[in-house]
Formats: sequence, structure tokens, C-alpha cells
Amino acid sequence: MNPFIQFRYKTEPDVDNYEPEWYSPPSSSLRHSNTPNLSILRNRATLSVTVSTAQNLPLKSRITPLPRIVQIFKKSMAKYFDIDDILTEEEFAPVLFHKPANGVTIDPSAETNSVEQGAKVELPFWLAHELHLRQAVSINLPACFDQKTRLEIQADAACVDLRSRCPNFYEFGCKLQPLVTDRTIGILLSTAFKIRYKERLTKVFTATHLTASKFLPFLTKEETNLYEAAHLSMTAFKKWRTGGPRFQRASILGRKRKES
Amino acid sequence: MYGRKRYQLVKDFASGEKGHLKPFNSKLFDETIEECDQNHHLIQSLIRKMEQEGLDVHSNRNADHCGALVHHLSLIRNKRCLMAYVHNRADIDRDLAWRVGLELLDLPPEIQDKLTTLEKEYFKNHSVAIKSYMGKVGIELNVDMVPPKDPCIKIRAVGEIDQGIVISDKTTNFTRHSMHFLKRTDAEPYIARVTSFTCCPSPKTNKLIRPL
Repeated sequence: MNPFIQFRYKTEPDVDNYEPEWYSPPSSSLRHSNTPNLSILRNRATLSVTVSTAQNLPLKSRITPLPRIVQIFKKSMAKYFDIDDILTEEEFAPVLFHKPANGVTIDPSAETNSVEQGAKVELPFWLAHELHLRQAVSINLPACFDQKTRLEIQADAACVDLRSRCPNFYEFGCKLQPLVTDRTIGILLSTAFKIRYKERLTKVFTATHLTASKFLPFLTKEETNLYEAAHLSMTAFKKWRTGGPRFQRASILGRKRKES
Repeated sequence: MYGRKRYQLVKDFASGEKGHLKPFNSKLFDETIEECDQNHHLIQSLIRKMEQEGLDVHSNRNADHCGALVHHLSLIRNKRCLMAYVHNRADIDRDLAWRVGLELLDLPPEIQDKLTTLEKEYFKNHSVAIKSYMGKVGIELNVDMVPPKDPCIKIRAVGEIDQGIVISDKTTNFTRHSMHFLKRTDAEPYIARVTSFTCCPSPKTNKLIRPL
């Protein structure tokens, strides 16, 4: 049930290959089909996974080359309406202003309606990113990637409560990586994910509800999506085995029954 | 920190179960639109200030320009959040048409309460488009995707349904606890819509299986 899988996470993010879609919502085909889908990684996590038996072709040769500007445009526009992407970009990151700004009330410590040059402010990521592109600020590492978290992950990544630090830990880290001078975020994310996946998410199929509920509050959004996908696969498989009801109330209408 | 209304709006959408609708949060929606107006006013005042000082707006990158940029980015972000909210609700709306029923009145009343008038219009137009497409193609497209084992199933009505429902070529009375032997395609919309049906598999087994 658990194929031997090697992960490759690129620490040098180049735009051509950098598409960390850590999660994708459970496809509707699963709800309609009665056949089980046991390999969750094949359908769910689309981070660059290479199965050990696969041919090790360099990734670039498999992608038909598009003009670079079109690639960048496609990547940025694909997630315009994505709610999870919007929520990830609302996380705060500390920045240092290189230019002053008038008429804005984003600095709570300033007396006037402006930001001084050299001020340190906590901005939401989307604003920090845009200002960084225009060279108005420089971004520092937020608190969820600080030394304390790194030490905890080194000690035992499986037990760290990542959700309290940042609910979209991996996605946020992926977005931060090209903008911050620190080059170790990539390695941190990949090791944390590898260990947590191996320790926690592979045990979804066999864990009882009690043990599962203990570590569920520690999982980030991406891991929770993977967990739910695996759970759905498992229930679909069991239902197929035992021959459950073929027709049900449409899931879109909600799980709770209306009291008639 | 200003500008948290859009975040609350998006969070409100995300806090509901995936694929399920919550009532349209018109209060937060309007507040976000008000923030857009405020941002727009502030941009205009900063640009006017720059023009009064005699500086070229496009080339000069002073503090006012930076402030106007921040407001502009905030406005674009507001727009994105509002559009994402409406877009995702429209996705669920379309899904409802496919999975539950093509008539607005087929939806349970609690779902109808959660839709605004514009969303109901959208639902109706989408249903009309689906119907005309199905008419041209000649096949019913919104049935279950998995091919059936039996064309007919036995069902038992558990709750109160309206009298005199027309199914195919005959009128049926779905009184409580009555058993019927219907074609699968006829029974499906009712099973998807309400919890008032239990269905038995083929007549070979007498086991009653309740829908979840």
C-alpha cells in the first residue's frame, strides 16, 4: 500500500519548474466512482515526486518550452480565485521599509499617517511581496520560521504543532523562499514534510479515530487535505468492499438531516 | 491595521464545509466595497497632492507615490477577494444544478435561503443552458456517472411528499411507507434531493439500506 517514494524538492526555485501545489481538493470523480483509489500521492500531492522505478529524466526536458513571460503569467493567474491561496497570502511577514510612504495607516507605532524610512512593520504577505518587487521594502523571516521552530523540527518533526504557528506553513514557506535572503527554508520545509508524512500521514489507513484525533490539530492545511483525501479513499474502498448504499442524498446539500 | 474586512469575508467562506454554501454575507461584502471606495479617495487625494507640488506622477517616486501605491495594491486585493468570493459561490451554484435538480424549487428551502436573488438568476440561467444543451444532444446528462446493474429499483417513501407527482407516464402517490418499483432515472432526483427515501437494491435481496 505504501510504495517506496523519493521526494525531490528544489531548493533553487526557478520559475520553470517551481509549482508547489501541495494539495488539491478531492476530485469529484472519487465521489461518483465506487472503485477504490488507494494511492493518495498519485492523485493528491503534486509536489515533484519521483517513484523509484521511474526513469530519472531531468524535469525540464519533459516540459514543452513556453515563453517565459507566458509561464510566469500562467502560474500567477492560475490561483487567482483560489481561496487557500488568498488566505496564505494574508499571513504577516516583518518588513524593513527602504522608502518612506505618506498617507497610509499601516504602521501602528507611527504617530502620523505615514511610514518612515527604516521602519520595521508587519505587513500581510501580498503587500510585502508587491512592495519587494518594486524595491521599496526588504522582507525578513516571520516568527513561524524562527530558530525555535527549526530546533523543534530537528528534534522531532512529527510532534510539532505547525498549525498554531502558521496554518499554511508549507505554502507560505514556498512563497517566501525566493524573496528572503535565508536559503535554508527549502530544506527545512522538505525535511519537515518528509518526516511528518512518514510518521503521521502513512498511518491514516490503520489509525483508529482516537489516535487520529490526537494529532489532527497539529496538522497544517495541506496535511489536513492529504489526510482527508486518504480518509475518503479508505471509506470509499470499505464501502465498495461491503456494498454500501448506492444512492445517497447529494453531498452538496450537507451532512445533517433536516428534521421533518 | 485597516483592510481586514476582506480577510474576514474570505475566512467566512472558507470556514464553511468544503463545497457547501453559507448564507451570503452581504454585510461584510458591503463593508469591503466601502473600503474600496476609501482606498480610491485616498489615492486621488495623494495624486492631487503630488500634482499640486508640480511633480510628474509617473516618474517621481516620492513618499506620496509610495502611499498611493499601497492604497492601489489594497484596492486590487479587495477586488480579488470579492471576485473570489462570488466566483466560488457560483461554482457551488453550478454544482447544485448538476447534482440536485434543474428547477429552483427542487432545491430544499434551507439552500434556497442561502442564495441571493442574483445567484438564483444565475442558477436559472445555467439550468436553462443545460436543458437546451441536453435537448440538442438528446441524452439526459445529469444522471449518476456509474452505469447501473439494474434499470429499476425498489424504493420506500419514508417522509411526506406531495401527492400526484408525475413520473414518466403515470402519476404516483408517494404516501408514507409506500413501496414503489420505479425506473432508476426517475427515482434518482428524489433521492438526491431529500432524505425521505430509503432504497432497496434489486428485489433479490430483501435488505433495506438507508441512505446516509
